[in-house]
Amino acid sequence: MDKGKAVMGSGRRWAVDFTDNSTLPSSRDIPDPPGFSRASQEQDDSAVAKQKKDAEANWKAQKAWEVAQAPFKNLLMMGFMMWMAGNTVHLFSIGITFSALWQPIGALQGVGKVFEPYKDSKVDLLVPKLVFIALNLGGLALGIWKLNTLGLLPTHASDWVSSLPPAKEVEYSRGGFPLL
Amino acid sequence: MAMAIRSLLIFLCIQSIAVPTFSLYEDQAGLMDWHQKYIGKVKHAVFQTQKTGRKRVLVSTEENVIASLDLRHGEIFWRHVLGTDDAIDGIDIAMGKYLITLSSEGSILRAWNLPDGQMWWESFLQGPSYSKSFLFVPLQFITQYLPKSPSIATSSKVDKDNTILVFGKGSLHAVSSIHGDIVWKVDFPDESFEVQEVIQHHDSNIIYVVGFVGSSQFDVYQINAKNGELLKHDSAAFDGGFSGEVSLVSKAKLVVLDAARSTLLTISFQKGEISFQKTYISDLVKGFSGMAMILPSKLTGLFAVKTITATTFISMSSVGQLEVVDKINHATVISDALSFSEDRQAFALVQHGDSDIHLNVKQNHDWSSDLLKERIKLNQQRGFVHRVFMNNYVRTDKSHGFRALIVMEDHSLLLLQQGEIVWSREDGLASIIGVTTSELPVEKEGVSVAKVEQNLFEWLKEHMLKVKGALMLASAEDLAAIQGMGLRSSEKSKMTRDHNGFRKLLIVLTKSGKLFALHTGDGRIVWSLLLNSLRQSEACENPTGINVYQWQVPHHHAMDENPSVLVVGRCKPSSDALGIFSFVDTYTGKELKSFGLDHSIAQVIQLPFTDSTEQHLHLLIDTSGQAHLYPRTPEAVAIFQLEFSNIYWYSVEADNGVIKGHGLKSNCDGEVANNYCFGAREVWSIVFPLETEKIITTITRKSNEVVHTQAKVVADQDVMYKYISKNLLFVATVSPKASGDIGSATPEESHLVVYVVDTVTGRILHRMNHHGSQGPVHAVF
Repeated sequence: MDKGKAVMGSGRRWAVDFTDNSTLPSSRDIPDPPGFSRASQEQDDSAVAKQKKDAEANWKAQKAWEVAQAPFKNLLMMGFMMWMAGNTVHLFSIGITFSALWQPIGALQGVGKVFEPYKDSKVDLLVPKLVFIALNLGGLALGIWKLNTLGLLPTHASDWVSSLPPAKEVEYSRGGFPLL
Repeated sequence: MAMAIRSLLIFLCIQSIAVPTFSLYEDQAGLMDWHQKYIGKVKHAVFQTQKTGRKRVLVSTEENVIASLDLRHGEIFWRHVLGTDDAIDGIDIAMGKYLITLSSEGSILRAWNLPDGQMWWESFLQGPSYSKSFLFVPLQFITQYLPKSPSIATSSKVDKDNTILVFGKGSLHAVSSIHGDIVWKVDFPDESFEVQEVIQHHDSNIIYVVGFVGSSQFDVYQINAKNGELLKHDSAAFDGGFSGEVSLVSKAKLVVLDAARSTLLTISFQKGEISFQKTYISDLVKGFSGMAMILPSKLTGLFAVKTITATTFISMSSVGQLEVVDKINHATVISDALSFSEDRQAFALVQHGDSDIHLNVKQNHDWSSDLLKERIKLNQQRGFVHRVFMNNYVRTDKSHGFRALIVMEDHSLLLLQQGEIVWSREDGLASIIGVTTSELPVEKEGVSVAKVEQNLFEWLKEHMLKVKGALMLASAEDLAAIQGMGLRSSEKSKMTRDHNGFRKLLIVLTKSGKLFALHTGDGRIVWSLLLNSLRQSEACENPTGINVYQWQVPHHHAMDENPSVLVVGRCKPSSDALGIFSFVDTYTGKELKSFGLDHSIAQVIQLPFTDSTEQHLHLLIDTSGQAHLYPRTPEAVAIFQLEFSNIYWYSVEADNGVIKGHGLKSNCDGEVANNYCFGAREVWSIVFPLETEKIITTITRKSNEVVHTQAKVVADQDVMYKYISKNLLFVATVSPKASGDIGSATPEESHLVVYVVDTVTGRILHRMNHHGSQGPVHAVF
């Protein structure tokens, strides 16, 4: 913008040139130097601003998608750690399971905050938000699934009513000393 | 230093908080619903029926119990249970006031006070070798056999008679019956000398000890009764060899069988000469073949030989002539001889009828006439008579009466007198090998008063008694009757099911093969059944019971179907013997059916599935590790196939220190292949190092145990939890040194390790070491 002003305001105090020859480069006497493109010069202020805004929106959208997809990596890592922790109830597996539960819950609580920097009228944040929520819910489901494999979920009626017998185990094993 | 003080403070704090309570509350002491005492199958019995004082019978049993029973009612005056390795070899009464017992293979001699059962003295006898043991109390011989002879109490007699002769551990001991000191001891020159009889005549100081060395040499020792001096030793050999029991038929004559058990051998040993006289059994008994057996008895001039077909009584004249006096084809039992007057001896002979027993009392020298001939009807099936003991009494008209104590096949004890059963004791309950429970019948609506109270007359009588009680007119007997009625009709002892399922029938299997149903409310016997399938038969020579299981528990048809139990047994005591099944209705106490199996039984696993008739599926593992499914119906197999891959079992081998887990494979092969037989594969195994750990206990959760609350405290302060997998196994091991009794190892060399094992995967879930601890371990899961 400043460059345009400097070119046009040289020599005279002021002048009004009603002919606009900038759009037709062929009508000019002096050809443009090689490598010079008039096009960029010819954009007006609003166009440039618009372009700038577009770039920023693009960047924001891109970033928002990145943020939305971030829990996926987390999910994979959690899955690996859960597999490492095994299915017995001890300190390590309990810790991992609870962190696996807590992380998505924390993330879901702060959905607005996470996407605040990328708020823009031109950027549609709904889809990345949905993806982010879905992935975190996936993480939560993984945690609950782990809780279930640890046998800590009250899934049977007997867990709620004390007078009911516990669920029958699938496997059945009996034996002992040989009968004499 | 600070650390030490801190830890000491913490320790003191914990000590002050933790108040150890190993006691009962005051109101719990001695409180129980019911309590029953039994003694077991009687082995020896001695009567004490003096004119004054209580009449009692002293018994020793196969459960190592000595007891004094009331001869009038059969109640226990006192009872002592000796240790499991302290088997009783002989009992007798000394000096009329002590019960002498010889136990632990002839090494422990004890005297017990007759009225209260307190131990008077105890004496340990040592000897060079293990041998058959033998108790001989000379005083008994005189006082009981000649009860009315006044000349007995001369000082010299008492002096002599106060010694007890015991043969045990290879030597003969004379023990003073007053304080248990060993007066003298004779070690026989030949270490393998086995005493068969000790003979002492009334009027002499010489004791004759006769026995065998090896299988073919007969020895007689003459010993001075005063000082144990060896006076004379005679010995003679017999080519044919000796076998088994000896019957002393007169003061100087023995009858024994030769090694082939086909020839009778009369041995005379009077006056230092030993002579043998051979008699072929086939000459005496027509059609004899096979093996014979001399019944152990102490009759004069008479002995009994048992062959496969019959029991033959043979008398011996004074010159040694043998003569058959009778031949009895039924099962027969004879008692020892009993001297009931100066020179008369009698013995009891018990034979079996269809549902009754015949008791004959005969005199030794007169077979043709009976002193007593009675026929006693048995009100229930008790099997054969196994032992009979006889006692006499003098009636008011000075004639002699006899009573007999008989031990039946079901281990019950009966006193017979004047053709009736005076009392009976169900002592089979002393040796219980299996227990299960059965629900009582559901209370049916519309039961009339008369039906509950059996009949109108009884009902009226009860009400009369109650009125009497209310008007304070009742005597002590009436009061007892009212109390008994109250107990019977009380909620606790009703014969119907209650809402909470507290009232049940305990189905108890005893060692004798008799099944009892006891009511949990008051412990009474509701019914009893001697199982025919667990009795000796041609198919099964020596059957034994293993355990009893719930077979059919009707829930859907509880009103019109009766539950039944499965009794599992095997033909011989060895583990590879073929199995026996018997099904018994628990309401009626009748055997529904029974059959023999074509495989052995090492494990019985009750599966948690039932078929359409609510029979429980059972999996039996034989000794070769194959699994057999029962009931043998296509429906059961179909149910089983659905759960095929989820069924496992484990076996514990304590000797090898191994626990193995098994899964099922397809149908088994071999000659027993059928649809109901499955092969097994080993899934896992845990091997304990034999040099440091020995398995002593394994406990698992009972499959029929129901815990509803999160944790349940049972009567002995154990806690049972709702959420514990039923597939878990608790294993306790101890160091091999500490596997004996308490006190057999020092705390340094004893340790106890407990494990919790998942029996499906074989994973050890938990392990804990207790240093300085020792078994036995009882656990509740």
